[in-house]
Amino acid sequence: MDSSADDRLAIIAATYQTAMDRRADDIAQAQSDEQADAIRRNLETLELAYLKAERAGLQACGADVEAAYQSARTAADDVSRAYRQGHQLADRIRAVAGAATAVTNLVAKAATIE
Amino acid sequence: MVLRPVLGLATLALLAGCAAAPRAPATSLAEAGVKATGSFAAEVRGVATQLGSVEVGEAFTATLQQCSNTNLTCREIVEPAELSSERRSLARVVALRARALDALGAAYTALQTEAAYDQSADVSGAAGDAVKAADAFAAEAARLDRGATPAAIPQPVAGLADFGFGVLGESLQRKRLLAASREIARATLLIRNGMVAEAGAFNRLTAYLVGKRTAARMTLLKVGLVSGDDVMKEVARDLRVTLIPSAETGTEAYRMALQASMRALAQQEVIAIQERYQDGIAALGALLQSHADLEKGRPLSIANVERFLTRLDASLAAANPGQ
Repeated sequence: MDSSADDRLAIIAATYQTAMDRRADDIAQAQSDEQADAIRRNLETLELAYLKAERAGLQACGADVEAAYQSARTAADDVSRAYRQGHQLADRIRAVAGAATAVTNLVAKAATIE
Repeated sequence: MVLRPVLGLATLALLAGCAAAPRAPATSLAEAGVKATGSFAAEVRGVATQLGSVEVGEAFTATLQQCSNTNLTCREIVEPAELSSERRSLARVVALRARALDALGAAYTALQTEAAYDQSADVSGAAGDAVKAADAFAAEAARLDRGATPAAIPQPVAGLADFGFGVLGESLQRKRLLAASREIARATLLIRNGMVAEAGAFNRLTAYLVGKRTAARMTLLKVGLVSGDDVMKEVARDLRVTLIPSAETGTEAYRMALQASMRALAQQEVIAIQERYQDGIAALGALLQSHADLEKGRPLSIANVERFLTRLDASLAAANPGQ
């Protein structure tokens, strides 16, 4: 069954919220300004994707949208796993960066207005 | 023959009864409509306002986090302009919903004036404005959730243009009240359906905003800029215990417990706001039932509207105890 707009928005909101809930601890563990900047940049990308998605709606259909949705789900799972399993900060940053790219792609594919 | 005049009078009385303007029930309905739309609009407008002001707490939180880590350069952290601009765009979209509710409230106020004072209020203009606002909102909601907004209108909307031609007094007012009620019911239905379609978006936005606020509060708590007393008062209230002064309040264990409680309270706040939204929808649904009752000359079920409004107001009072 194809995903609904609500399914897509839910995965984007949840991924953002996971990263947001961990931001304070992640910044506290950062060893350099570059790491802290990467943590914030990832979170900003996720937040921007969420806000755009909420305003634009994610109604578009098609195989590319479904593929983007599945990628976003996989990336969200990777983020959850990275935190649950206590991966190193650098790995967590990489996981969130992957999710940020995936949800941005989902919004680009599924948004019906700019 | 005495019977004929009596029958004639009875017939007249009956006719007058049939044609009497339902002023009292229309007034009750209108009052309930004004209250329901007012409370609901305030709730929705609150979300729009908070969306527009997130960056203030965000700048403080992010900078404090940066400067609390000695490995990092202490500097101001300001989010990209694109982010605050996107948030404001979304705030404007949410504010449109509040404006649709305001327009509906204005229509109920006009109905109230017409019904209560037996005067000619600009009820047709207000009802028309409400329908226009509701149409715009419904179109927007339908775009967000295609197919989920039923466009079915219970009955055709009667035009208001036929008034004033050979119909006078009570009969005229009765027609005006019922036609306005029908027009307003149409707007109420559209707005209610739009609110139903957008419930998911509202729930996510609520969680988003409460999450932002909680992050800022936790940062303030960690650096000792706010007291944990308010959190502990809520915890004590939930546990039904009375707090006494303790030496434990300075420990890491206490701080972590406070933090966990703050998260749990934030979750309760999210649920309370989402329940208020559902109560607002239910109140609009109950208003629609009352419009149908008015149309059919049945006693109005205003108590249903009042029930949802009482819950909504109680929840709002609990959320804002100082106001």
